[in-house]
Amino acid sequence: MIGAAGKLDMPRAADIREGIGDEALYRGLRTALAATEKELLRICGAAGAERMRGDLGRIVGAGGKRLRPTLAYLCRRADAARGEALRAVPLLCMLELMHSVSLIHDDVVDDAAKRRGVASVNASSGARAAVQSGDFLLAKAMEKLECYRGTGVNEMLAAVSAEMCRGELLQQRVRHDADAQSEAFYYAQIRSKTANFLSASCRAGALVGGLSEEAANRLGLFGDRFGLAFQILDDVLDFKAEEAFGRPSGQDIRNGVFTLPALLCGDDAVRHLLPKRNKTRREIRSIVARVRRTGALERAADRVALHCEEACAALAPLRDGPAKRALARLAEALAERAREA
Amino acid sequence: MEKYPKIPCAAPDALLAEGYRLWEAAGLPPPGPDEGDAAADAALAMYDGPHREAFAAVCRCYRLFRALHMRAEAFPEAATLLGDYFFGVFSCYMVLFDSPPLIRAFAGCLARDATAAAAGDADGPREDAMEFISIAREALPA
Repeated sequence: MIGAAGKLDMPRAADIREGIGDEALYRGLRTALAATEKELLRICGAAGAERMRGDLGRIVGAGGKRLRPTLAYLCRRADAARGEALRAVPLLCMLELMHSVSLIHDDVVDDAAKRRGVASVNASSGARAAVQSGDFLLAKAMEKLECYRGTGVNEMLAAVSAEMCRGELLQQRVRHDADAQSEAFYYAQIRSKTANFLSASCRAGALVGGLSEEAANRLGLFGDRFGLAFQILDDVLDFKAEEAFGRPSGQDIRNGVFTLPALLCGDDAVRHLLPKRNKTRREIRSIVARVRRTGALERAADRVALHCEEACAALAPLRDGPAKRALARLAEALAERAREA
Repeated sequence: MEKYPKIPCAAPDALLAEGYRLWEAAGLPPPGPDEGDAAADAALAMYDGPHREAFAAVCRCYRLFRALHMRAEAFPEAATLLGDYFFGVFSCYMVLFDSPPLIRAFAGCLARDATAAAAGDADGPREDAMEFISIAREALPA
């Protein structure tokens, strides 16, 4: 499950025909995602400048897991509808546009050369073009807001957007600061950066599907726990990047971000080395090796399994059905991946 | 006595205050005189209808978001992230307004300005930085 770009490559729900176990749901998901892709590419093609069209088309067209739209779609069908169900595709587009903006802007912040195996916008066209291209996508995401007035979806996504940025800003401020980066801080950060958005995607899908408030809350909780598991696993895999993907391990450590494996390792030498800025490649390798030797990766993987269990438990009160089973299957797949790591 | 009932802005107001604190902590040069305050003042001068203060806040946040993103080349980390934050706060005020014409007006302004800015030189937004206020004002009831 390691993607070409060297990141956690979840099996897409659209590809897990067997896991979904229901032909109608599978076809519905594939159709919705295809319509979403078509709309995303139309939006990229509508940019008023050729260079921006090229940059956006390259990044959005390079694929990606489409995890947030997939979760939203499944959550929309995960329980009995109590009210009117609204169109899903504008929501799926909005979620993927928001995610794409965060990736394009993150690449500016990290000065990343590649995204999804292709040149990042900032690498090909500069930081200015990258930031403005992201802003163009924000404009397009805004246009979808009209579809969901009065549902609570717009309020939720706006709040999540602000919180994600706040989390990133706080993280930038405490890079290399071992005192500030406690386990509690780490969990707050991964909530801000990842879990909140996944939770909102699930909750938004439920609201758009006309599900009850209680069901929406349950699905939001699923998304939160799934999001925690997802991010922790991604952070574990950063310690194995060298043998798995052929790129240096420990990128987070190099950037002064202390993820759960580093925080759990309890090694004095690691604690001493972590705050050092401009670590040499040798020092980073030393930290990675020590973290692995202490069993910290396995302990972090245990947290992934725990949060996946919590995610599945959140689904328990919902009506049994193919969508609920598909969501559980996604969480189980994540836990399996953690056991393999 | 208030001319119109106010929409509750406590949550986005808190986010806006947090935004200024984050700005200071980021070590960026502070907002210029033609930025947040000027946009809010211009909005208040142009519009005397319902939710006037929320409209001023919307314009303030939008102006700050765009101004920060125009500084992203000089300050890639802080200006990009802080600009995104103010876009988030702008969105929080916008959903309170619940106005499709206002959404369309701002979406149009942003798409045009971002496209022009991506292709432009380093001297700032391609259109009058405050033009968006009059465009947005047109979207509100007379």
